[in-house]
Amino acid sequence: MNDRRILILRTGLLWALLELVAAAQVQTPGGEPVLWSWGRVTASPILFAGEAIGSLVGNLVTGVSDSARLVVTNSRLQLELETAQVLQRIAAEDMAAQLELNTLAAMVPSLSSTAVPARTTYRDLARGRLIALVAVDRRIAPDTPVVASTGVVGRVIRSQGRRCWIELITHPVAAIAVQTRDGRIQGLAVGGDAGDLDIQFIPRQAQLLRGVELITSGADGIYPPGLPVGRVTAVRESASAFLEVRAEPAATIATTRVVLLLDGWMGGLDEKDLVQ
Amino acid sequence: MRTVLLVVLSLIAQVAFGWPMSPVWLSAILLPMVFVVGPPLLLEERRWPHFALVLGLAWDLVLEPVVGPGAIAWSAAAVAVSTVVPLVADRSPRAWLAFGALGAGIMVIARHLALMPLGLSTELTWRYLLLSTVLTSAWCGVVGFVIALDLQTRWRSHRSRKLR
Repeated sequence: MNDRRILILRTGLLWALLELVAAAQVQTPGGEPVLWSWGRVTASPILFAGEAIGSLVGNLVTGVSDSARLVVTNSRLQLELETAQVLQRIAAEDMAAQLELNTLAAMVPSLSSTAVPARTTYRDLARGRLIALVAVDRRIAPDTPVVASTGVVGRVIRSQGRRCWIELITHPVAAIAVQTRDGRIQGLAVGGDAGDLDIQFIPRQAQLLRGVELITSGADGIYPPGLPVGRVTAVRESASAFLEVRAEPAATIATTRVVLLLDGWMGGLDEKDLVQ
Repeated sequence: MRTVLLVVLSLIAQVAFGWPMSPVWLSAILLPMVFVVGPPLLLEERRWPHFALVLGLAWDLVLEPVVGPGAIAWSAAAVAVSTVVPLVADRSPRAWLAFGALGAGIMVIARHLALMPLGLSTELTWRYLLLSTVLTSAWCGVVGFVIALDLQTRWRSHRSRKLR
């Protein structure tokens, strides 16, 4: 039985071989051997599968590379977005500073031609110090008044390059000659301990109430007259001949961005004018 | 050697039967079929399928447009006959007749099937199949009858009787 199977198998293979030999001798109407066309027909599914797999692999590689490129692009865009957000914040800060500068220019129109704007870069309220960066490379003279959009900030005590060191009006040794708006009461504002102002030399008989605005009187020869300095917060009688007056600074020193250095504001005045 | 000579003669006769001047039915007789039917009936050694393959290749060279289909058809006929012959005890001319018909039918059909994928086959009609089967069967029956007569023995016994 086994021999018979082998015989049948062998005979079948022999017939297939003979059929292939015959197919190699016959040509199609196109001049191609029939054997080749059979081979092509047989191989076409394999070729199709190979082509499909190749296409699949190609698409997979393209997809992976595109994904990688997408991730890189996404990272770059995220970085650009963060940079843009930071720039936007800086621009918003600049915009606010510009608004402050405009307010300053409106407040001191007669001094704006000689004034130098500066951007605050460092402030130490406890020590009464402020550092500002001027817009132009110009030496600023010591004792140049410094004002913000809301009032007097202090005076320049040192200048180097574009940096200016400013002594705030709240510094214990700072002093400004002040008066009320109507000019009837005059005094000297010096720095207090708690970031406020101590108004000295106010006579006991002076009618000074809380909330009264104090401005520079110009008597100190440093600050031009008429600039807001502060507002009275407390008035008490003391054992001395003067009232004990406290005031809060008009300038928002803790948050101000731009200050104006009134350099050369006395340029139109002569020494003899001051003496007179 | 004698068999090879007989095969060559049968093929030459087959070509002659297909001559344009000869009747159409004459070419339907498959003369070499006796070399497929004969060996198993005469209980010769079991090499007839291989012999049929060689016979088919010779058939292809002489009668077919391509080499291969004839070898398939003739070996198929030989395999079929050699499969059926051991099942039948009869070795008379009737068996030659029957196996000749079987071999002819198988050969014609197998040849047609082998040629079909190549685009070379002509239409196979029942008439041709029947004609070829009957005529080849008759041819094998005649050969079987002649072999059964055992003329050589009869001639020898006749000669010995006359000499006495």
